[in-house]
Amino acid sequence: MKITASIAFLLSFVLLSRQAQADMTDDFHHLQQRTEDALLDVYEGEPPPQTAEELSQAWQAVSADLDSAAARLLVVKDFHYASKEDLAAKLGASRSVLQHIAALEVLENQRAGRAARAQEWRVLITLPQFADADDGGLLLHQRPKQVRLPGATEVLAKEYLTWEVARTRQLLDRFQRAIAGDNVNAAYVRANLAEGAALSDFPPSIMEAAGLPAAGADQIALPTLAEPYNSPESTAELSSWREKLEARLPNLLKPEDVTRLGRLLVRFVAVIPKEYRNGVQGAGNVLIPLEYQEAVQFTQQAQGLVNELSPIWRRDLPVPYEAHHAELVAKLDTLSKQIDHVEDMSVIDTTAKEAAGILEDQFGLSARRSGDKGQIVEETAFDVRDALNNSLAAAQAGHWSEAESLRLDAYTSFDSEIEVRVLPRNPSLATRTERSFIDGTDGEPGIKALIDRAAPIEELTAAYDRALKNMEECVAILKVSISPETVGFTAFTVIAREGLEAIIVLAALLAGMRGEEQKEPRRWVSSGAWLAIGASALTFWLSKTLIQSLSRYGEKLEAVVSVLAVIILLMVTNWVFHKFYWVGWNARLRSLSKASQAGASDRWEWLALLGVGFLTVYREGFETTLFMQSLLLEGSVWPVVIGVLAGALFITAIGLAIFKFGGKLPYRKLLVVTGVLVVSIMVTFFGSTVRLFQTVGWLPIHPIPLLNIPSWAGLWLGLYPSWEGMLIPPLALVYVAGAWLWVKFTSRGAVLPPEEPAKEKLSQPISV
Amino acid sequence: MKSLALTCLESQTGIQHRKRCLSTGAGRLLRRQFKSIACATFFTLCAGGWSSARAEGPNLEAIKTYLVGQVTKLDAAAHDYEANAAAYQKIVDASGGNYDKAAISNGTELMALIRKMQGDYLNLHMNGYETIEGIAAGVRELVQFDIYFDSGVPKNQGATDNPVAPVTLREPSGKTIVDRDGNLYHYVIEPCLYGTKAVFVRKLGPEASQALHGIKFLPLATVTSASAKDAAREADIFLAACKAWQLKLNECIGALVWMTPTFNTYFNDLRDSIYGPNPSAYISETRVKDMRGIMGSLRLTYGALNPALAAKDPALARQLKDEYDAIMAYIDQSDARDQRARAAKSRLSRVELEEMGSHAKTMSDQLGPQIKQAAAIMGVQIPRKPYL
Repeated sequence: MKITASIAFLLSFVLLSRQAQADMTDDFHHLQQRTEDALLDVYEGEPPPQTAEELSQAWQAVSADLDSAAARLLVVKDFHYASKEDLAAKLGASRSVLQHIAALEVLENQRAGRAARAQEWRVLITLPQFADADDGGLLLHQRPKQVRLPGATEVLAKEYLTWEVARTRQLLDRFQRAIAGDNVNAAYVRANLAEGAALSDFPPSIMEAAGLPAAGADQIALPTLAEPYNSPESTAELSSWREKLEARLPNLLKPEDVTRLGRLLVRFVAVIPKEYRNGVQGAGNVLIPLEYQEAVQFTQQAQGLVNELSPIWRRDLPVPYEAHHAELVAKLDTLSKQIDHVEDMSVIDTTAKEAAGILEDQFGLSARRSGDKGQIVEETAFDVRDALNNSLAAAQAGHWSEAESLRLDAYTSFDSEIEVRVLPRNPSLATRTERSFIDGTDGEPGIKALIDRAAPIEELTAAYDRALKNMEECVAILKVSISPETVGFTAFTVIAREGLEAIIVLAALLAGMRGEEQKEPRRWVSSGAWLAIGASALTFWLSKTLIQSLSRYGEKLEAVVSVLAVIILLMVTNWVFHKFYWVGWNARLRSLSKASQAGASDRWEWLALLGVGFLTVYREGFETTLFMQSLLLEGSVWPVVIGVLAGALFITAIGLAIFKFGGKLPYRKLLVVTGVLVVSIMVTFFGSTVRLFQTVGWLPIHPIPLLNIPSWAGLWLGLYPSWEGMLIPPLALVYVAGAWLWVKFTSRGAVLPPEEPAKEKLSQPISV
Repeated sequence: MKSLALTCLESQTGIQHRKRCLSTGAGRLLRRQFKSIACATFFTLCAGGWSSARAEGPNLEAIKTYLVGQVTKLDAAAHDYEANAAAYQKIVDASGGNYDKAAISNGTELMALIRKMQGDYLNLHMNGYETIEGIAAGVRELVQFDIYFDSGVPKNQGATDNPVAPVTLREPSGKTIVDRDGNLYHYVIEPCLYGTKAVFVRKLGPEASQALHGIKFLPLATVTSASAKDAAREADIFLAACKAWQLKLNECIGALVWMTPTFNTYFNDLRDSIYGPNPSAYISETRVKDMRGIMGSLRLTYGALNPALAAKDPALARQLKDEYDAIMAYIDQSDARDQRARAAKSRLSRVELEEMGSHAKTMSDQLGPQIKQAAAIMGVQIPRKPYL
């Protein structure tokens, strides 16, 4: 009997407290609803006479539900008013006070270990758009012991401050837009000013719980705006008041957040004219509303970011802040109005450029990433994920060109910040990941290949997932810091590998230029090589500025340069082969040599010799500088310097040995070997150019399903398993063979120039 | 099951109907305790059953039953429209395609058919699709029908988050009437039946106009016929798709995440319909119905999920339920204010609309993160936006 009575009592107690909770929620909602009704009544005209009484009763009901003494102190008791504007102000302020009360109740109940009750209050708090409410919610689902911890108090207090700081800004943004649109009256203005002021005035106990200093005790007086509210004077007064309010808001931004938001701001301002250009044709003619809306939205977001960053700038950058902040705000405001009025593109462009100029020149902001490696990699990974998700979404919607463009964005971000860092550490993973963005590997087609053939969604999704998984692996590798020894050794291997490649090709080219009479051509080739070393050093020096400024063109720039290089290489190879190998190597070389000595040679031929030497070395030098930059990003300067010096010594020794040893090789055999080598280099060059074209989307990818080529074949032979990748590079061979046939055909019956005696045993053209 | 779903929808009373206790604090407490003690015995007896009912999980079947019921009505309206359009075409054809002649000889029949077709359209759109838009437009399996009927844009405006409606209509001769020029409702049927697009109507001569009591245009029979056939065909497919749809919890949560913010735009549309460059009483009225339909179906969807969430987080479950109720109540209240203003030969002021828009945004902004929080607590991953 006793047990039954106890159970019944216990159940009654549980249910009683549930009932009490239900009423608490009801009371809170009722008060919110009554406040909103009263506000609408005020805006419509005169509020009903019983309004003040009803509001007081609704507040009394909420007051009876409170546990926190600090919350009870905030309860609004008097709603008697002198004018409807006065009532509007009280209503506006009370909306915000209600939020602070709910937050204080959350903390009170959390500290007492009443997690369920804390959550009941927490869900009543009004959230800003895009708020993150997950962590606090999950925290309150932990065991009571954990819920009671001071750390939990701090998390919940910071969560609340984050929400309401964002909401203060969103509220003020919306209020300023309402004023600009002339959708306000005196009561509306008073209500919103009071609401903003009260919301930004956080109770000291919440600040303390979050581990932040309490705001100063000084109250910020509400501005007395005069009609028309959208006049320049009123707008300026409102902006100035908002600035004071913003300065009072707790700073929850970490330094890295400030950097990220600054970068985002510059990007927004840069992208506004682009979106506008896409959406508007001529003044007043919106062609694509969506693009136009994007421009509107980016402008609003830029204004929001300026508001968010202003207190930080005032603290950290007082000089530019004093001199240019107001100008920046005015520029963005003007831009917003110009976009609203759908003004001509040139006007928008000018204003956006002026705003961007202030941000970049005065506040020193840049759209490019800076900061520590981890942060850059993480942000890039975020961008890549975002772009790939959007690309997949576009593909799913059947917008294939948009999908391809986004894929390219994702790839270039990956390539510029992640792949370069992974390459020295794990070339195979870097290559595999790169291929998952493009043509893929055996049985696992890449994204581009699938986009090209508008593949089914399941296949596409799997390909995107593979690329993301590979990228995550790259990010994971980069999270592990690299030792100085590894940096030094990597620098050494890079120099050794790239240097060796250059020396072998150079040796092949110089093989035929033996003897005193070829001294001049040799000099031209060597000069080209030395020039390339100088140019590589210059490139390294410039790479931080020049290359970065060109990097927005990324792979496209590389593709264009590659085509130019292919053209030059074709011309040079053609010239070298015809003149030196087939039509009469020695004769021609001697005549060239003589001509150059006599100053009568064709300048193009000199340039060609110079170009051969330059291109051979610079191609490797350029690659080396990029590797070195990425190594410098990874480690400190000294290990890189030591590695480079060691590599240079090694290469010098090898080079001397090759040239010395090569001089003793039988000339005819050497020419055959080096001839094959030069042609194979051309094929590789063709292959990598085709690959680049496929990467940037200028060539389609048609994979060869059953063909599996290892990654190294791509790296060393320029062969990739697609029809384009397999068929186009061998065209270099066709070209060489065709040129040989042409020479053979046209030289039939021609008289070769008389040859001068030569020291070499071979003075006849090589028969191929 | 259909009645169950409707009962569920109807039983979700608005926040304004909830009984409130506004007397003094002490009196209120006594009353609470009395109510609690009175209920205690009943709950003690029912505790076991109550707990197991809570543990049942989401009632997704209720959503499907409601959906299939509404789409069946939509399908019937589409076939009715098809029959009326065929009759209309027959009269026009009998006059050799001469609308003046048809108006003079069969004016009464033509006008009756136009009214019937307009009624069909209301049943297709307002009373049909709009009542389930919150569900259909929020899930991947059904979003194609939303794009086709109600939300797709013309081909020159397409973008990832603004898909093109794949509506192509041809005359029997093969001549193209519409080639991806926007969705079937707002870009074809509505402008044709209400005469807002010149190429879809035929202007009448003075005599014919007089015979129709001043009506100046008649819908082109080729357009009504083609659009009706297409509506009936697509509605059949839509109904079959709804019947075959296997509901998943994450899709239902996705529908809430993606569709609730549509509430944001309602008051802006309302303001534009009053104070914009092209005021339209029609838009004012139809948007209220749109919003009731969309938000009502979302409330129904949430109602089905509520038990599963309540088992894990009763406070959040209760709050979400209250917030959907509050949205429905707010639509009613603001509509009542609008009606009151109209009755007084006035309209809602810009300031009132600004406040309503701002409050609506606050309400839907609040819901987004809370639904995501609910998903996290329930261990559900929110799917991508359905048309993406």
